[in-house]
Amino acid sequence: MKSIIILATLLIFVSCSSSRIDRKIDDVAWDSLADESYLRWGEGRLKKSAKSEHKVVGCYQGEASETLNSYKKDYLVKNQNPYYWLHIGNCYFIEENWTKAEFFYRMTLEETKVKTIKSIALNNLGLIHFKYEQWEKGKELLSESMKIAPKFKVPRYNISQLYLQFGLFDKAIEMLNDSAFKGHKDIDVNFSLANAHLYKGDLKTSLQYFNMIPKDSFRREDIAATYALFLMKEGKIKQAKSVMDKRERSGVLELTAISQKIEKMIALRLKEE
Amino acid sequence: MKNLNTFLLFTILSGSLQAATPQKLDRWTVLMTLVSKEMKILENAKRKGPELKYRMLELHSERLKLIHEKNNQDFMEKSKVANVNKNKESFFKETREYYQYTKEFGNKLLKEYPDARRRAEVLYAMGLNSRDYGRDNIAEKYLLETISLVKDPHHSLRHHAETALADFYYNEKRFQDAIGYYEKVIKKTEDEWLPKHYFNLSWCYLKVREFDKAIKAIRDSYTLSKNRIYVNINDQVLDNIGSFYVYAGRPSEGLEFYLKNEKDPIPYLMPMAKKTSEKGHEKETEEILGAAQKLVDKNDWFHYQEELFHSYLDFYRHYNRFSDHEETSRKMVGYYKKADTDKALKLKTELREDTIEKMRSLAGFLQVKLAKNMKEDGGSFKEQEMSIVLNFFNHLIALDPKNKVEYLYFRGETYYSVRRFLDAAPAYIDCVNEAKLAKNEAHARKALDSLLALTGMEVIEKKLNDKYLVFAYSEHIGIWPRDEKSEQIYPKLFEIYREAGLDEKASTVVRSFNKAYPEHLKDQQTLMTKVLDMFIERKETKKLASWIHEFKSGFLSFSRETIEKTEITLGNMLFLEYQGLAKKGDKIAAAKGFESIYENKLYTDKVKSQAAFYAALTYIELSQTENSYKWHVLAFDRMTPEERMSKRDEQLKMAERTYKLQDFVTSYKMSEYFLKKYCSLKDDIQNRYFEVAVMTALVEENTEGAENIIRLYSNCLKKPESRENALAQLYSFYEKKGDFRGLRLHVYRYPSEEFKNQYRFTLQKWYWERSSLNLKEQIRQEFKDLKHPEATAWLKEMDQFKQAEKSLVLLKNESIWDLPVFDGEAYNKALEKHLLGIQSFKQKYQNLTSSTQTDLAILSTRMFAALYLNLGEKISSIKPLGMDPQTYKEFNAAMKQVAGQFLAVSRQFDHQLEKALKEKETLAWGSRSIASVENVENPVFSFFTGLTMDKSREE
Repeated sequence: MKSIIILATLLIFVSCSSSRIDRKIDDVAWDSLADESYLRWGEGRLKKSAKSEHKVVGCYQGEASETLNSYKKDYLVKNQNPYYWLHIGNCYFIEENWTKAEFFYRMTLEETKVKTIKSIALNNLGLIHFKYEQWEKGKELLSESMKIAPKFKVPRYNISQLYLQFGLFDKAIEMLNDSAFKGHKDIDVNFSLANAHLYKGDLKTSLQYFNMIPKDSFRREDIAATYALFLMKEGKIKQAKSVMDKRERSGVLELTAISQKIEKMIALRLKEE
Repeated sequence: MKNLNTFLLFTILSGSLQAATPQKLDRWTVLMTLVSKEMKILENAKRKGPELKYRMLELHSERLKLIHEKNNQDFMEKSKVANVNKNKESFFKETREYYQYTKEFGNKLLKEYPDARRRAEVLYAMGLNSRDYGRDNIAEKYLLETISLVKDPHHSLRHHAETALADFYYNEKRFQDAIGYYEKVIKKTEDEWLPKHYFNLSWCYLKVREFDKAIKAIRDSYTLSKNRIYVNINDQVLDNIGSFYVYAGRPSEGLEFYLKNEKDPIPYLMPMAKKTSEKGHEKETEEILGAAQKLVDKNDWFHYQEELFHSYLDFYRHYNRFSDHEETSRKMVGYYKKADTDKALKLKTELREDTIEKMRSLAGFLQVKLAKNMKEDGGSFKEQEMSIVLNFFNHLIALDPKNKVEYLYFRGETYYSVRRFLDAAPAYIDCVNEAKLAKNEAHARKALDSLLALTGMEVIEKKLNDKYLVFAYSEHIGIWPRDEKSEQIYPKLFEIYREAGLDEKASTVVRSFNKAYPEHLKDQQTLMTKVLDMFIERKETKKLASWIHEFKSGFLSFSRETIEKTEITLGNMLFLEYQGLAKKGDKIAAAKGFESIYENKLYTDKVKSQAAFYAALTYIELSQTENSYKWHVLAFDRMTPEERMSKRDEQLKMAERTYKLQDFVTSYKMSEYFLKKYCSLKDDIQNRYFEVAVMTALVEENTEGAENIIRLYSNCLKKPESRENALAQLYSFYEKKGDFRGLRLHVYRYPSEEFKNQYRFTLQKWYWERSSLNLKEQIRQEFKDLKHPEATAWLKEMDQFKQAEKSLVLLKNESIWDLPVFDGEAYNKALEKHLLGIQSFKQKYQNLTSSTQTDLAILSTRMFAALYLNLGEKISSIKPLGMDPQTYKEFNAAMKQVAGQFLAVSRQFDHQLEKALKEKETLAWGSRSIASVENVENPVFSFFTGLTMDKSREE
């Protein structure tokens, strides 16, 4: 009986927890990285694209297993296609099977001579290393990715996230202010800039970027937590609470811990008031 | 005299019989004993007069007769077992000698008593002795002297002497002299032998061609014989009277005589018919036989039928009436059949052999005649004649089944002789078949030789001719597998079958040839190769496979290379179909096809291994990696060592392709399987299998599998670097996974300097990054156990940092002045004490800011910044109780000045830290922990918020 309870608890825990934040964007206008990554494509966009662009779309639609099987069947015909190994890796990435994803990204690097594909593989491989908390190695891979294909935005964005994570806010801002992002509006780019400026202590600029984020996106837990901190800095504790209350829980353990910390602080401040 | 003799003999016989009792003596011994005893009595007589000596002559004559009888008996017995005619006289030596003795005794008697009363009797006795036992031709002389001495024409001695002389002349073929004496003798009508004398006389007349007298005399003999006072010799008369009529040219009268005088004349009619026939009276003969047949039919005298048939046969044969002969023969077949089936009729069959012989003889004769006529008449013959011959053989087959084979052969020969080849061939075949049943090799050979000769003439339509030729060849080698002719036949028969596409028969011939003539192996191999070519041309894989099995078991001693070539050819044939299916896209059907070849018991290991290999290849093309592996293993099991070696590159590619098809588990199994199988080779391929096995295991997070590969198969490697690389991969895996236990075990198992160094840094990183207190404690313990100076130093710093954190809390919480009444001096002392405490802290822990542990350096620098900030804030915010406002104003200004210095130090720490982190882009955990808002870490995590890429905008 005890073991059943433990198992049930584990199952609940597993089903609630995730390694990554769901950041689907339905409106393509807010996805300046849409032409490089399907990761933030909302259901509507994915459906529209069907699989005409790439079969890998299936994996983003929750059909990873079927899509991987179809890749097996395509082996003879498509294994020379530069995207073949990369997209298998991406499907495994979606499935959170990191070792297989890493393997196929490395296969991509071995098999392809196309620079852009190499750059993409390096970017994705960098993320895998972040998962392993091998930050330096991940950074190296992203740098290499950028070096090979400087026009890509995603590796820049990704490395900005690393800078943010480790308090290198100026570096992050520098990265996100690159010409590559000029003229585009993007929820995550704007959020990252708002975050950087907030943590740097520049509330004014931070607010400017917060204001450039669609209201709906404030339900995202990472954005909500960051904005709540901003509001707390501004002394707007009640608003901060409201933001936190409206957030959609990501299930990401680390993020949940931060949210809980913020909520406690809000509760304490409100009490003090 | 005779009475006396009889008396004497009877007396002696009685005495001797009594004496001889109880022994039973044969007649000859008894008589000889009697003669001897009487002779002894007479010889012992003191006075021997002419009467007694005459008696002795009689006894000598009697003894001579007995001796002759004995000699003759010996001769007859000997002649039964051997031809003793040439030495006949030697058998009668005793007779001759005793005759001579008796003759001398008689002559002496005649000389001693020239006027004796018994002289005529002595001469008569000597005449008879000479006639019957002597070679001195003096019988006539003595008998004539006897006659001349007995003047009385009615005297019995004279009659006996005349009769004896008549018989003598008759025997000497002096018929005219004999007639003279017989005519005298028959006048003595009281002679009981009178019918015999008439009979002899009739023969004499016949011999001198006085037929009427002869017929009259014999008819008289017949009549007299019916009189009881005479000896009946009618049997002899009836046996001969028919011939007499025939000789007289009046056979019909003879027939009439028999029919009239005899109730059952058939025994006499048949010889008479024969005689009549011989004498050229065809019509009369037919009448006689017809009369006989009528009597048989009328009286159901079936016991005569067989003999009568024979009479007919002889008659027809004599007059070349072959058709009638054949007709009778046919009846006889029916007769014998009836005799065999209806035993109650008790039909005679004693002459069956004779019947057969007669038919054989005539059939043979007619056959030769037919052939002769055919030659002489320029190739024409009478159909009826041939039919008769063939019918005879049919009758003979029915009558003489044990020689059926012979008659069947003759039938063939008959057809052949009249160039009826289409009929001859089946007849020969019938003969061969019968010969086989009867185990008559001689006729089998004759018939086959004839059939071969016939087919060799090529006079029959080719297809049919070939059929007969095949029969002849097959039977010949079947009956005489090892035979001069068969030796030539095997290749010829093979060619016929081959040309007709009859592979099974052709190969059977090769097998038989090999069995009979193993010394012609090379020829047989050549023939067999032709059969194989046939299979190949016709794509008959099953047959080809079946033969490969035979070759492998040693048949025809084909070389290994040849068998292998054949196997490869077979494989190519078999696989072609399924390869075609695969090419068309129906790979599932192709794979099933290859499987079916593998599962077929008919095929050899080589073919099976190839089939399994192709199945494996097909399945991998279908992305069915598990199935592919299964078939790889099955293929491998049946491969020869050479084949295995030749497939290694392909096997490796398959293992690689398996993981490329996302099946790491199977790829791992496959790599391990071949790694193990080829371990001793220690080459580049082995290295690659090793790499694949470790890599696939780790992709599946199967560290145990990877460990096993390293542990079990490192000795199978060519280059040790592969092992080092594998260990590094495994280390890296544990590290990536944050698996302290696994990593620790790995380092302890493979304690290289590189790993140990890396291990320290990994643990140090984890110590600062991970929040688990348990892990932190484990790492501390590990540092203790490592006993490495650097680890020891790090551990000391860690302890220091712990203490520093505690001290910092105390210092931060320490109040500089909290007394109710302000005392300047006391305050200064308190401030000094607090500052001294901070100084002490600084001295104690400042070294941590320059630690090689980046996280510690960051954290400790940040700690000092926090300490000085706290100090500055504390000093500037002191508001002593009971201090008046003015004093406080001055005091506060002074304190703010002091605090400012400390705050500046704090900022300096921050600034330096920030600068250092920025410059080095340090990504240590420590830096993250200090970058916070409201002491809350940044909710941005590069991994969580990072984006994978799928495509390029430039597409």
